[in-house]
Amino acid sequence: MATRTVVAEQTERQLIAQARAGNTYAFDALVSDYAPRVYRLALRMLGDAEEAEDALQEAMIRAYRSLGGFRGDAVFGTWLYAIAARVCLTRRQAAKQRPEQVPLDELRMSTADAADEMLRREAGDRVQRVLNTLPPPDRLLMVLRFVEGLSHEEIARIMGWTVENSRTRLLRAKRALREQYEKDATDGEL
Amino acid sequence: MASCERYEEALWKAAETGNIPADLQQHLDTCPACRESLTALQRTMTGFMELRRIPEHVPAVALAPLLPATRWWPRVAFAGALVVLAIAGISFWLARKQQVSVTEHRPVPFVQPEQLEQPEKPMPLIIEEPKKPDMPRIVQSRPAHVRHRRTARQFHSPMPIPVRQEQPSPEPQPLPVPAYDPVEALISAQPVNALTPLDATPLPTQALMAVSDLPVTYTLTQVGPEEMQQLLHPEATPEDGRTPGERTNFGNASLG
Repeated sequence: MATRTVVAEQTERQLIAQARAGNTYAFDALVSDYAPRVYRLALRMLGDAEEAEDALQEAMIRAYRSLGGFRGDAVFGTWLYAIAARVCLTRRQAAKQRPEQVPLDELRMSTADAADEMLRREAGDRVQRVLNTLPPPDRLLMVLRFVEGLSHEEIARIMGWTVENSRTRLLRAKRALREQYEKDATDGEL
Repeated sequence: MASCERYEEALWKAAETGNIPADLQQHLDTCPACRESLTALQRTMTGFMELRRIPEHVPAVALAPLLPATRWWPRVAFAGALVVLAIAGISFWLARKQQVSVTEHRPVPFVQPEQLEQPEKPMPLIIEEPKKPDMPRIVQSRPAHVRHRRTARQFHSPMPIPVRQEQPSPEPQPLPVPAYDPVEALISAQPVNALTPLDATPLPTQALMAVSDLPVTYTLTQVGPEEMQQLLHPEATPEDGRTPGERTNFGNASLG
């Protein structure tokens, strides 16, 4: 496993060097592993499949153009996440006036148990609905922490904060989510 | 209620990991509100787990057709074009500067015929007296790199010092001085630029400017001594019957 990781890191480094030299095919190969996760991040942040696809393309183009500024002291995936997060925040701010959409079609998955699948889908829809009511920075924090599974250190690096600041903001976002979740449950019962 | 806030982070962690610590379990046993909160958080985490699933349809990222590949030769060509442009610009500037310096007016100072350059008197020739034939001369051939220096023996030798003798020079013949022609001076006169400093303006022209008391805007002609005398003393009778204005072509000169 460790050998595979080293090989993957070396391959990634070579691809980064080739992409820096202007090889767009090397860049495509480099981001192909990260594209699904970036798309998922955009989808959870923006709540719309088309918006998420546009955000994905924009994030990749931005990453390609600013690849010269990638110093290599961070993991490439974290660096790419930071770019995607900024793109999503910008798009979320621009689309603040538009009504939120829940990407139900995108949440389909294959599970054995149909009833269990329905329960899971409902839980996912509800969380997505609650996420859409949060301010964009809080939403991004929750997605990075609980959807992408990033640590406080990684979140702090992506957002440009200290770790302690990241913890404090995340705690505030958790309270907001909890309030909105309870409010959504009350509205659902009504 | 205050004690419940203490367990807020622990509730999130328990919902996220599924592990409930002992102290939290003790609190949950006695607090139905926190039990309800934990249940809600566990449902939330289930929803987050659902959102973690990668969507089936992920758009392909293919930037290669969208972005032109960066090649080295356009940069080199651009840099070369910049260098060529810079060289052309500098060459044009130098050529223009040289052209301006060639066409730049430099007023020719007026020179009186008496002040024309006289041929210098030839310097008297110095001829060494031929050596006496009775004095044998020892000629030693020296290599080229050896400096010629008189030795002590040569200093004390009885060889006489050569005496220089001046010969009378012929009378210098004065060079033919061309006669001053005012009409020719008028034709060959160069315009005085308005920006020419006063120091560079010929003295007759300065005198004419002072006499006329008019601002000279464009052209003044070179004035010879006779015309200057007539300008300074207009009551004097002209030799050829022309007025000073006619002589100096003031009618055509542009005076402001």
